[in-house]
Order: sequence, then C-alpha cells, then structure tokens
Amino acid sequence: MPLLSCCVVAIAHATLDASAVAGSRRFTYLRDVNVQTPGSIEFEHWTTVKWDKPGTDGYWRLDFREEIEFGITDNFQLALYVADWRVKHNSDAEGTELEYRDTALEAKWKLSDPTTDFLGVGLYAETKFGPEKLAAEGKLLLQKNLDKLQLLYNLTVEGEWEEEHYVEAKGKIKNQFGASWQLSESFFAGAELLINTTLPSWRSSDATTNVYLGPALSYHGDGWFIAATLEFLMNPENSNSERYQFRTIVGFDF
Amino acid sequence: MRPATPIPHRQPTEAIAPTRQWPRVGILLAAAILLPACMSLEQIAPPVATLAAPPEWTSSLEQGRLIYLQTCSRCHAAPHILEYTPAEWDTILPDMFDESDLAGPHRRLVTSYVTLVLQRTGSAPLDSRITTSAPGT
Repeated sequence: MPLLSCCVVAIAHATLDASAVAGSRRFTYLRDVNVQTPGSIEFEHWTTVKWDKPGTDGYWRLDFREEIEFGITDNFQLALYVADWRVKHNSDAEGTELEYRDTALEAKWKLSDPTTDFLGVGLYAETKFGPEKLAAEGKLLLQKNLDKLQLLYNLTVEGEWEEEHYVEAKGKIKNQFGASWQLSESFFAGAELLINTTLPSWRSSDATTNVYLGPALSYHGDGWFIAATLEFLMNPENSNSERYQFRTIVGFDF
Repeated sequence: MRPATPIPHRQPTEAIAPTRQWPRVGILLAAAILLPACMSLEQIAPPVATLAAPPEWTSSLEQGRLIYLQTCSRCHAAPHILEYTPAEWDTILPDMFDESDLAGPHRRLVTSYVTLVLQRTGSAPLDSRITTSAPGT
C-alpha cells in the first residue's frame, strides 16, 4: 500500500510538464557538491516510505518533504523545506496518523569543483524547527566526477531535540557513500551505502548503528528529473529499525 | 650443547568466508570495468594550449573550457566535443544553455571554445564564428 502510494506520486509528477530543466540528482539520500545556477529556482518533492519494523504489526511510514532551492552565487545556494510531514501506520490496532513535523532551512557552499578540481568539496548546513522538533545538521560533502562515473561521500553530524519542550535529545553521525554510472544520455544507475549511528542523549554507550545498502536509479528528462533508491537494512540482527526504505525525489526548475 | 630453539607455532590465519568477500570482489570488478571506460578531461575537452589559439584569446578560451566542463557535469558527463558535428552543436548548445540557465557572457565563452575545438580538428568550416570575433564578444 505505501509503495503503491509512492509510485502514484512519482508517476503523477513525472507526467507533469515543466518549462526548464532541473539541476539533476543521481542520489536521494546523499547530497552532491554542486549548487543551483545563480538566479535559478528548483522545486523538489521527496517521498520516503519505510516498512517492516520488528515487533510491529502492519507498520509503515510515509515521509514527505517539499523543497525549494535558490541559486544565490556560483558557489552558494539556499533552500527552504516548506514542510516535512508524515503519514504513519504504527500498527493495525493503533491505526494511521498524519503529522506535520517541521519546516527547515538549508545552505550549501561549493568549495571546489568535482570535475575540474582534484576533489569536489562542499559544506552543508540545515536547521529544522517544528512544534515538537528542533534539529541542526552539518555535512561535509566530497565528490569526484570521472567522466560517466560519479563518486560521492557525505559525513553528517546532527543534533535533534524532540517531543514536548524538546526534552528528548539525540545525536546522529552518518557516513554515506554513493557511486553512480551514466548508462545513457538520461539514465543513471548506482548504489548508496548508508551507515547511520544514533546516540540517544549523545551517549556513545547507547549508540545504535544501522547499515543500509541499495540501488539508486535516476532519469533526467526535459525539464524534470526523478531519482529513486531502495535501501535494505544490512544488519537486521543488531537493529530495531525498518528493514526496507524507498525514497524518490522529483525535481523541476523554474 | 645449546638446546634447539623451538619453532614458534603459527596459528593459521582465519579464512575469510566467501560471503564476506563478495562485496570487495564486486567493488574491484566494477572499478576494473568502469575506470578504463572513463575518458580523461583532455580527451573530452582539449586544453586550449593544444589548439594554437591567438595568445590574447587564451584566457577567455580557458574560461570557456572550464565553464563547459563544470556546467555540463552538473547533470551528466560532459560530452566529448568531437562526438558531435558542428551542425549538431548548433542545436545542442542553445538547448543546454537554456537548461543550465547559463548567463549570456558565459554562453559566448563556451561557444567560442567549442567552435575553436571543432575548427582546429577540421570539423568546422573555416569561416566559423571564432575567426570573425574574439571569444566572449
């Protein structure tokens, strides 16, 4: 059911027309170093579905994000996440709930170019604020383009404060790797590896790590792009997280 | 008589299970196949120094080459310039300029560079744009 909803959203977006072409993504979980051209605006719709969580009966979760990116200079962009919201089905007994989570702001700097410099380096900062969530996130982005091959690494450090009065604090450290190959003019295929560590109350003794790996596909059309990744939990014996997650991003330039 | 030194007993090294080897083998195999298939930047977009350009144009042409490589690869691999004919470039460049929202002066720099590459390799007619105007003008 969640997968079907996700596909419907993706197809609906893909059939819409757009006047210009988006700065296209090859990955959905990783961020690349490049920024929007100065003066250009891009809209992205994110859909993430997660399912199969141990100890739950019929659990699934759909997360949505609507992002607008603005190119400010050749090496700097800003973005607004209008809303992060989710539909969550905890169990067949508890039913389904719709929840607004937060709104977010993002800034990205490109320090060197992944094609013409030895290594593309970027910095990324994001802050989220919502009725029961505050978060601050920093990323180091490393990227190398070798003709049709793109290699990407993201190191993320994130602090989150959740629940009423933001009493529940946790830290997250993410090491994420991506590789993608251009198969044709518009079609790209690769993989994303996510090694995500959560530290409740920033205590390393309580840390849990989830390792996800899966294929990443993207298609860059005339005026739009779509990228999709299906991730499988690789360490289910040590984790209570969802066994599967699927993310798609559809983008349009204006 | 000195007693013989005992030969230290060496523990056999732990064999790596085949299931743990496959990701490494896969990565090495993929690298072995994909990396040789990658073209160098010099093949994709010949350096200006190899094009016998007038010295006063060198800086602008270098800029045009850089913009070409950086802008194309934001969405896809920058194409080998000689993969396409001058007639094809006449359609490709305006399309890509619009798609990338490239500013006017940058468009002229890229056009000058691509035209020069085509001209120097005998792909473009001799009276093409580069012979009549300086790059970026």
